Amino acid sequence: MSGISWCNKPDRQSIMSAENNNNFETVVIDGEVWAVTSSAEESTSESEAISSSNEPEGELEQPQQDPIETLDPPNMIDNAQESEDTGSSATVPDSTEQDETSESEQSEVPDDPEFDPLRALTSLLVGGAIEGASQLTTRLQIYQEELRQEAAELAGEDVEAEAVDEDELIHLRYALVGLIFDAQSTFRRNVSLWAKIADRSARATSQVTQPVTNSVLFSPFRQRYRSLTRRGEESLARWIADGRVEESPSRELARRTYTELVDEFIDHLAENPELQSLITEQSIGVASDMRDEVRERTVTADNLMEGLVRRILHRTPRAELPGPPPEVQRWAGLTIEEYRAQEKIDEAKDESS
Amino acid sequence: MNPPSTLQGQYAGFISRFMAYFIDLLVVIGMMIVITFTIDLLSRYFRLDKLLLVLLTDQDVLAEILRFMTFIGSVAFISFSYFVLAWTFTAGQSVGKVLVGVRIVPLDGSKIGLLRSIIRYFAFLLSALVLFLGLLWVLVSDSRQGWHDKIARTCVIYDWPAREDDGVIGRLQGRWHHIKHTRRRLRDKRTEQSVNGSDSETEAIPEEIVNT
Repeated sequence: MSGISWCNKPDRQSIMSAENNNNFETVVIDGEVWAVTSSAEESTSESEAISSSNEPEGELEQPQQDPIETLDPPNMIDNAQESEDTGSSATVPDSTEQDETSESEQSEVPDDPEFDPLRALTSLLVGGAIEGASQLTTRLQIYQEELRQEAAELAGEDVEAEAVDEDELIHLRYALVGLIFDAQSTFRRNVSLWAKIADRSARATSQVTQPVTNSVLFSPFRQRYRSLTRRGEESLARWIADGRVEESPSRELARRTYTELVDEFIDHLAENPELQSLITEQSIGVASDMRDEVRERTVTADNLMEGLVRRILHRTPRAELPGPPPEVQRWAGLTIEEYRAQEKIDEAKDESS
Repeated sequence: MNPPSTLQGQYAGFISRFMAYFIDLLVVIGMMIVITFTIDLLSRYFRLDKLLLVLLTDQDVLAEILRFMTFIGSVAFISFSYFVLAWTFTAGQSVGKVLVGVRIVPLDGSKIGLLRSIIRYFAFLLSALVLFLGLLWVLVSDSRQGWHDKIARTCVIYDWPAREDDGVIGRLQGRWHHIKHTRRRLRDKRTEQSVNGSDSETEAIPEEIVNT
């Protein structure tokens, strides 16, 4: 298997089989093994990484690479180009390889006993939300910068053009827009202000109540409070660790799902014979309509132009003239096969006569 | 005489024939480009390009004449081959004529043979040489024949159920026919009244006729 994929908590057997094929580069984070590029040279580091997957849980180990950098598609392409230069085997799959990969993946998916659909779906949703928000933010920044530049250019060009007629309704609209932006900035200011006030009041209260809370009477409550705090901190640390581990695979899952779904949809459309025939029929129909339209217009133009010329020259109008003889008219509308057949009939008649 | 329901089998007009020739001209130009490109490719392959370069860039008068003759000859040869073969072997139709929907038919109703095609081709050149007068003759001829048609004893007919369109040109033409018909009716009526001697009952001329 060439290319990049990821797996969630693989069992040792599957990792060993993958390693035997020299197609895995694993990243161990928090006792879990994350995936994966093809690299034969790095088998030693793979084995080290895999061996560390058996270490007890809760011990967070630094990943070999930044997961985001490893799994980001543009970086993947860069890495592939770099690897071509350096002779490394990390590659981005081409379309045929992707097909093979997707086929093999499709055949492998039902055999994976560790696959958790709910977890994968959660991962997809979280990754989609983060990735979508990130992409949206990036685009918004770009658009805003472009708009700012355009506005600056316009302001430099014609300042007088801004002095347009503004009625009451436009002023009201501007006021509403301004109110929304002002409310947003005021809310942000107030939130930070209230956070500061809460912090200071908590400090002041703790200083005042410190003699009471440090007394012997409060020792059982204090111990319980500390244990509660410790549990909370542990939970928070676990959540942070989980989030750090989950984010990049989730984003990659969302990205790949989106890309591959779009690709598959386009492939499906391209390979659909009904759709192809529909497009062909539509194209032929449009071409025939265009041809007929051009023909009709030329016929009309024939009559119009000839009518004018004949009128100028005081000649008999076309409508009052006889058409071609019947032996000429019989050739009209024949296909080449019919034309040949008619020729043969004529030749036979000539010979017999 | 009532006009037929469709114009299939009727004489084809000047614009249709001009359109067909125009399309054929494009085809001939395309063929010339392809042939020139092929010759260039072959000459490069067989290392004859330097010889061609000497021939084509020589400033000698003889070389100039040779170049001109070569160009004219190649154009004539390609167009001759194209038209004659098309008329003979594709039932009196070239590419342009197929697209526009017209066909060359001999006046005696027989098939158009090779000899008649050759005669028509050279007669076509002759018609074009005299200030295109032979081609414009289609506009004034009762049977819509150019000089080349008359020489080769052929005519060009609509090969499809031809009909006029209802677009701007068609509406203009319909309006023109209406006005013409109304004028003729008025003229006949006035003639009739002058013959009968009753000048008092003159029909009012419609406003649209007066404006025209």
